[in-house]
Amino acid sequence: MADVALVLVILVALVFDFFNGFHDAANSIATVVSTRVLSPRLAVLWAAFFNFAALFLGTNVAATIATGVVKPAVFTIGVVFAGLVGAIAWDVITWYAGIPTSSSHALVGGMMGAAVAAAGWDSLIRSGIQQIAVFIVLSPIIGLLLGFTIMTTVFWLFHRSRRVERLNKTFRRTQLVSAAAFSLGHGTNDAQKTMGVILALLIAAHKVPANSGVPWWVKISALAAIALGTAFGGWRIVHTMGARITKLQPVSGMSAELAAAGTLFFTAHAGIPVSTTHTITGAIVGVGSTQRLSAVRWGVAGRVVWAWILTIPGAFAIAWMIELIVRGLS
Amino acid sequence: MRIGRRSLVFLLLAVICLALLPLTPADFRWVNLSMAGLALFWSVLLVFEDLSRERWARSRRGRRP
Repeated sequence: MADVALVLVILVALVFDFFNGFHDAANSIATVVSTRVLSPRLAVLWAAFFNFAALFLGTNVAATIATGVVKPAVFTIGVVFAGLVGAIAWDVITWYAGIPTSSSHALVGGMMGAAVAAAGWDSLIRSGIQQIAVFIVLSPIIGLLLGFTIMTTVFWLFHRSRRVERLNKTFRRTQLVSAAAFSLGHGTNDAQKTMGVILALLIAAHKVPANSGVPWWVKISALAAIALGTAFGGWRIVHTMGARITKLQPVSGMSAELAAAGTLFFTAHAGIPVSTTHTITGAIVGVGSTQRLSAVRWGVAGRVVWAWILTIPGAFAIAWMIELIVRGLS
Repeated sequence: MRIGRRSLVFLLLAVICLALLPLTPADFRWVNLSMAGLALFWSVLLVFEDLSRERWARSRRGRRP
């Protein structure tokens, strides 16, 4: 019976991963689509392929999710289930409203809520949560500053060039590389969160030792789920990210993606779960600010900030209620 | 003298990075410091840009008959 429950919750984790791709990964192609470098269909396939290619990069974020947010001893199949359902419910609500929220922080909030309902506030690891909270604020700032810096450097390098058409063509090509880099960064960061959840489940069920790395089948299934989710869409958010925050040219799309990809590679290497949505939003605002502040539609950016503030408490509350219901039923 | 909003925004970003310093784990404090440095760099540069633009506009007005 316990094994059946374990398999079912692993499937729920993969569904969450699928929704993460559906909801978040579309952001990674927003700039390519809005600058018309690729058609939406091709862009989605491009992003899905590079999401999956993250298979060969590290698993530090997975380790943080499995052992750095909630004390591993608190994890049971029921707690992980409640946390996942809380995160999925929050994702679906914000997807329906067209708000680019963060699946990553929904997952962290959901796990926290379920753990607190099961074992009280002492079940949380303060240092791990503090690190995640700091980078909730820092990651969009890093994206913004790098985006502004890359964009300004490109302007300085090419402002004397008179062959504007040729330059634009070059930047359209380089945007393919930057979009691939961003999708790779997204795969390393977001798919690893699901890997971390499944690893926590396997440790709780004594299927692998507590100091175990992420098994290969977990890596492949998590990356396949996020890549499939990416391939299936999230067009509302593509629209919000690519067209409504600021108007993008190929050069600005490339700068935003390079800035966001750099931020994601660094945080994935450091084992810090950050939001790809936060990061690319910051980077888009950064490149938009090189023209003038009024080029950024601050109303949309403000809505994004509200979604950031509400995500962890929202997913926390839903997961907390679900954990109480699960415990009541069992 | 009029300083643009962009330099103030970058100054604010530098302040936020520095304000988060005590909460950031010791291993990652270099991130706060380098980002604050970058934000301050752009803030100062944008102030210079605003000043030179103002001086240019004033000299242009002075040259008009």
